[in-house]
This record gives sequence, structure tokens and C-alpha cells, in this order.
Amino acid sequence: MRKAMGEFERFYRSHVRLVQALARSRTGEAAAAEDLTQETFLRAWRSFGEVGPLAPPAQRAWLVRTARNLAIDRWRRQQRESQVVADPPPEAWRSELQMDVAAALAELAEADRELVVMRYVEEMNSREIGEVLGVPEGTVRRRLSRCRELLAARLSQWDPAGGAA
Amino acid sequence: VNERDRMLTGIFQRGLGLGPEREDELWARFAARLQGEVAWVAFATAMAALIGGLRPALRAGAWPARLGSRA
Repeated sequence: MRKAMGEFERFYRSHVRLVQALARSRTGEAAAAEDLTQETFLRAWRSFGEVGPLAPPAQRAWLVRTARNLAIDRWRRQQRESQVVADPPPEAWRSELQMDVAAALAELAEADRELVVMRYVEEMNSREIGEVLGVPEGTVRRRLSRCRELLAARLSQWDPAGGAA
Repeated sequence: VNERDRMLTGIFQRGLGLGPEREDELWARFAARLQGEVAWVAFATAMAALIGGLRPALRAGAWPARLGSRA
């Protein structure tokens, strides 16, 4: 049991940054993002016999798919319950930077958000992103190029060097 | 392109990334939840085994007979 937990902790720590950032980009709120992250890894634990032996890109693909499906389920549940998603509570966003990043992501298409998180949070290259999302590398490059323009214009004020290059 | 990528990487990691402390916090909360899940599965497995063991005895009428002999 302890051995399994040790293995799972390594798996968790290898991928938690990606899953948490994706969850954050989808839910826009810290507590909801953590719930989504935990639920995704709980599913991974239950299927660890299947997911554990996969190569890291395939593990990421599995996690991205699971997080995406759970986020859709959550959204549907909220729609059914007619819960109006109010402004996030004050503690949800710790800084203006986080709000701006979330707002910039919200302007992108859903599929592009995943790609941007993989590129700029996880620093994955176009080939790795293509493997995880199941799209050709060239498509990833083209989409990234479009997103880069939009995001640089939107977020350059946060550049410590003093503006977009 | 490289300059913009560097800039955006810095901004996104500050805006969405996890520091090591936050990662530890998340793992600690997740591990606690996992222990609960593991304990629940162990309990459910033990209950299933118990019920599985009782069922043939009940079907064979062994239990009521034993109860009857005590009465």
C-alpha cells in the first residue's frame, strides 16, 4: 500500500501543475479548480493499474481528457441546478495578475486554452502538445502563433522587462 | 517569438503556476482524501466478503437452526 502511494505521489507531482492550471483556466476559481484537480487524480488512482504504466505523454493525455470531462459534467450540473455562478469570492483570486491571466484565457477558444496552459505553464513544446491533444504539430504551431499575438497584446503590461517584444 | 514566449511563460507561471509550497499543500490534502478512499474500499471489501460468507449458511438454513437450538 505504501509502495503504491509512493508511486502515485510521483505520478501526482509530475502532473499536478498541468492539471491544476487546466482546471484553473476552466473554472476560473481557486476552490473549484482544486476540487476538479482532486477529482481528476482520484479517478487516476482508481485506474492506476491502467494509467500508471503509460508513457508520460499518454498519462498527460489521459489526465487532460478526464479533467475536461469532469469540467463538462460540473458545468452541466450547475446549469441543471440553475446555480448562477457569481463573482469569485475575494480569496479566490490572490492578485490582479491572476485575474488578468484568467480574463485573457477566457477570450480564447476552449481548445486553445489547453494548448496555452501546456505551452506557458508546463513549457511543453509543439510536438509534446500535439501528442497529448492528438493534433498535428503544425496545427499546434499555427494555433499557438495566433494565441501568442493575442496574449502578448493583452498581458504585456505584466512583463517585468517593460512590454511585449 | 522567443521573447514573447519567454514573457508569456513568466506571466503564466506567476498567474497560474504552482510553487513548491502550494504543490505540497495540494498533495497533503489529496493524500488525506485518498486515505479515506482506501479505508472505504477496505471496509466495503470486508463487508462483501462477510456477506458472501454468510449467504451460503443462510441459504442452507444453518443459521436459523443454530438460533433455534439456542432458544
